[in-house]
Amino acid sequence: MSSPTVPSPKFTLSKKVVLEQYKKVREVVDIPAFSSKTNPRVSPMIEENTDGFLSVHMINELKHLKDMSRVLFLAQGWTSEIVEDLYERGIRSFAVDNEFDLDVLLSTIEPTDWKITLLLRLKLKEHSLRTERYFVFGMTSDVINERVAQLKDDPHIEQLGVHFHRKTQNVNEWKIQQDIEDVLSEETLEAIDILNIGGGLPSEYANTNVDVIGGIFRRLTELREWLHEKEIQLMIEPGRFISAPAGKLITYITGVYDNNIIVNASVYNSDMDAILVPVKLRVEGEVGNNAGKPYVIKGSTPCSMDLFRYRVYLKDEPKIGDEIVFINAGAYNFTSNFCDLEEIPTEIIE
Amino acid sequence: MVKVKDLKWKQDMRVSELVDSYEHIGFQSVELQRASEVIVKMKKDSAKVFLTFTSNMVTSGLRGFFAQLIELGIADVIVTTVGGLEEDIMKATGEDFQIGSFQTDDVELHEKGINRVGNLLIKNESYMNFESLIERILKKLYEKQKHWAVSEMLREIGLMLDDENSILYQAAKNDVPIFCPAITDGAFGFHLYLFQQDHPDFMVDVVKDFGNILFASSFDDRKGVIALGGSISKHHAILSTLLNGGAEYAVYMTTAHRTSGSMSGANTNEAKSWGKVKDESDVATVIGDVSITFPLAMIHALDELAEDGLLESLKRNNEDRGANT
Repeated sequence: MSSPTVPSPKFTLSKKVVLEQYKKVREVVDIPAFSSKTNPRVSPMIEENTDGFLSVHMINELKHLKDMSRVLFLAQGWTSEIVEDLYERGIRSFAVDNEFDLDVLLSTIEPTDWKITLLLRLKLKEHSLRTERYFVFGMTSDVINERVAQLKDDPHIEQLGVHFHRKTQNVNEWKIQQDIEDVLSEETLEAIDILNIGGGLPSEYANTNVDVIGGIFRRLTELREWLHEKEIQLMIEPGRFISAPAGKLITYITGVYDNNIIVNASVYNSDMDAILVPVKLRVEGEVGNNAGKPYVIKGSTPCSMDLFRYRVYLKDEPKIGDEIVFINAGAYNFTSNFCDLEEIPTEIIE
Repeated sequence: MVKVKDLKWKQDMRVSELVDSYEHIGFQSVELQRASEVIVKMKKDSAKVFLTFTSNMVTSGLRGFFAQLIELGIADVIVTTVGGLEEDIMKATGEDFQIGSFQTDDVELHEKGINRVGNLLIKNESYMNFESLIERILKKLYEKQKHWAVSEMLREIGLMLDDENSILYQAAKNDVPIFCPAITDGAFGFHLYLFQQDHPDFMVDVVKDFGNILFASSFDDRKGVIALGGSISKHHAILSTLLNGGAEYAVYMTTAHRTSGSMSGANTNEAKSWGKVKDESDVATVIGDVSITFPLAMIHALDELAEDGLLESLKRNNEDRGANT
């Protein structure tokens, strides 16, 4: 439902902030690869202004990019035809999730003179039950050790690596060296060129702790030093950390009653993360719980799940027509067509 | 899979090194190391932490450790039983408890006016001193107002104490609410009853306090529960988190076993069936004496938080935060 009395909502995305965030990552790892799925509009900014990689999961995402040689394509349930199509487009770096996908790739490249970079996805133990249901992804360490031994002298493979991926907004599973030593054999560590630790660098939300970033970066630095002793490059795929702070969601109040505020956007067309992860977007100008009144910010649909924030403290009394600006809204701000909602446009700003 | 590794002693080995090695030993040591990691994770993730403990732990030397944890910003909400609060007040006013023995002549102790809690001993005299003190405290409370929610009353009492090692004192000073749903289940409750006989308009409102614990967190917050021992203190916290969508993190430490079907023995998986702990939460259940297991897990967690420069920020956040109730 749109209201004629207030402007339409929009996203803004700052190129400057994207590049600042990228630079922070670049300082502590060898190969940053922006995870395109977090915000495909950021991918061209990374491609045009940095030497970083782009990690891509779906062929559809490739339309945002020009230089396919900088794409790491993460395969899942593909065919020889898809592999050939990707190679013909210019993609040379692949990460495979399971032995089925690996065998499809190997049988496709076997009769060719292709040279590729290949990462094998490791099912790394997570110190968490939260991700139990995601344990279907990746190969066990036994398989990785066995396959790396087979592939290390394969003439089609220029660079060989191991990839794993822990969940997003990861705050406490960064003591990676010990985990790697537990599961990868010395022979594997000697044979590989790249360790790709996936994404998971957190960003700042109302319900997260930004103070953890320093500790995470310190551990990344230590990990890189350890890997360099073994002549292994450290790769990372931060998406949220780079894109979230660059984005704002600008909405307008269409209704106020009791302590409830209704804005002219919905989590279903702007912030599905609020339901899925869930992270809660901060509101520009919100104050501590002693300095204002608490409000519930509701989305525009009648769904009870359509809540941006359950309790946000505002100093000024909200009125119809006022702006409510959600900050750090640049990651996973994908849309659904629930209630036939329209996609909210994004304005790129310098 | 994590490999079993042999534990090796090192001279001047730190607690944290020992607990790190627990990950590779097996059995409850693995759970203990995991519990420590879950505690670190709940703090790093800015979860609202509900720390619950039973009164016997306040009888023990854990009392000062709990107070220190409150001061350091580790706990956001405390839930406990009334005996612990009585003993906290006793210790704050100079009473000493003694270490005795599990194997003792209890009839002889009774004749001497000594009460036994496991291998800890409390003199009747300590209770007598407490009772004369509590009467004065209740008079002061009554002069200030007639109607008290339990947590608000406990905060007021904490402000009357002057002991850095006191749970009530540190909680009041740091705006951490203490909830005690069974406030009448002890000497304190008896004196509340007596005081109300003389002052019929004096009311301690448990129902109002249920609202306070519900509003101590919201659906927006991530929630963590550290439940030491069982009983109502554990249940009240996880009931509150259930009504706010369930806890994301839970550490249970107890000697009780799940086979009894009791709240005390219910493990974190059982809590998931109720939605008290979320399906995808990070959890650990450690079976063992909390006087041994909790300091190990918590000191390891504190070391890690300190190493990451987070303890100061936790303390700062605690100071910045308004009252939770």
